[in-house]
Amino acid sequence: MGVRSDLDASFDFEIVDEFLDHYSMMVDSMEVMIIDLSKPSMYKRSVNELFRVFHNIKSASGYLKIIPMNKLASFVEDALEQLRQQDKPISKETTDWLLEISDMFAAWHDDLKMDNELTHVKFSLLKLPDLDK
Amino acid sequence: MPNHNNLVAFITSGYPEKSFTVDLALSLGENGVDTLELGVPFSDPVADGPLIEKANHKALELGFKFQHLLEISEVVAPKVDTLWMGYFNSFYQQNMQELIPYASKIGINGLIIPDLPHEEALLYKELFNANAVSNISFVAPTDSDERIKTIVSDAQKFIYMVAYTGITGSGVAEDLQPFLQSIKKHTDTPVYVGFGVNQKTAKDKVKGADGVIVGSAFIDILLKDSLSYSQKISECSNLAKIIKEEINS
Repeated sequence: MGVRSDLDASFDFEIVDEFLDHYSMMVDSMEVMIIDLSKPSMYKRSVNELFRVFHNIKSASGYLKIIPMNKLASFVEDALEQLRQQDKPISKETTDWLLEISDMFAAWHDDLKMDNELTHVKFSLLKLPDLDK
Repeated sequence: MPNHNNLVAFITSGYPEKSFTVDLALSLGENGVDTLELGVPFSDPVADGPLIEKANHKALELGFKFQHLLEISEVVAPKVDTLWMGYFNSFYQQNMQELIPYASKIGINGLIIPDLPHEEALLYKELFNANAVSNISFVAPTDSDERIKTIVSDAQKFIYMVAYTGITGSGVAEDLQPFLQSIKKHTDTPVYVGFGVNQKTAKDKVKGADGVIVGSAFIDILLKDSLSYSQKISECSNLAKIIKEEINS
């Protein structure tokens, strides 16, 4: 039994389905927004959008008790909050880290779709790059 | 009462060559390192940061072979508490049924395998136990309380606590205490903090824990081309001494 079955056993089908729809859209949109963080003209808009995405994932996964997703989303939200305080585009190192983060959330998307166990968080994601660079 | 927090040092085996690794390992053992992690160079070290990844690639370019790890270990393990740290494929290719007894025979006390999830590690539990070799358990801040309880239930030697690193001033990520307590309430096995531990952070990170694991700070020195071999050994040994003092002050 995988993560989808666990959710279906604990929550109303419609709630789970709506979460999956939204989650799918949010994961699909991540990569473009991350790439746009390196463009000065797009920075403010993209960092705010990305923050909103992770904030929403944090809230939804918290409600649905998907603990690793909730904790990682919270960590990324903290990092994006720091990035919102600055105006300059992000470094390549930060871009790479965020792209790896989006890969992790995409892997979870597949786990949800295929009803697999949740893929374990890659430890390297918990090392935040220097955001001030 | 003085503290007795332990220092675990990670070094990349065979970088830049195996005789250097032996000299460095022995010197670290004489300068405060309680346990040595001999890293097994791997082409895709997914749990490691850029510095260790670079050292891994350089070691492989310089011709590192698994046999070199065995040769290094045969000299080092009788003198310093030694673990192997590597990715599962490196060990699996050697045939676990033969490797673990051999590791035990040459004095290796444990393996640290960051890409071997707890559930899969259970397949080798009897093999590790029968040879008195520990398989070190990892706990990450993204793990649920239920999962932490499961992971630590049969932890051996110490628990490798992966800490968030890099966020300052935002509260949740830097405060390790709630996470540490969530582990300690389930186990008496010592908990060592890894990730982001260096000379500046060691004292803070060890609070409430039983030891620290330091990797990148040593590898940073090893990657400095401007230093001679003896200077690298000397700088690493000084760093070990300083961190050992910091975590016990």
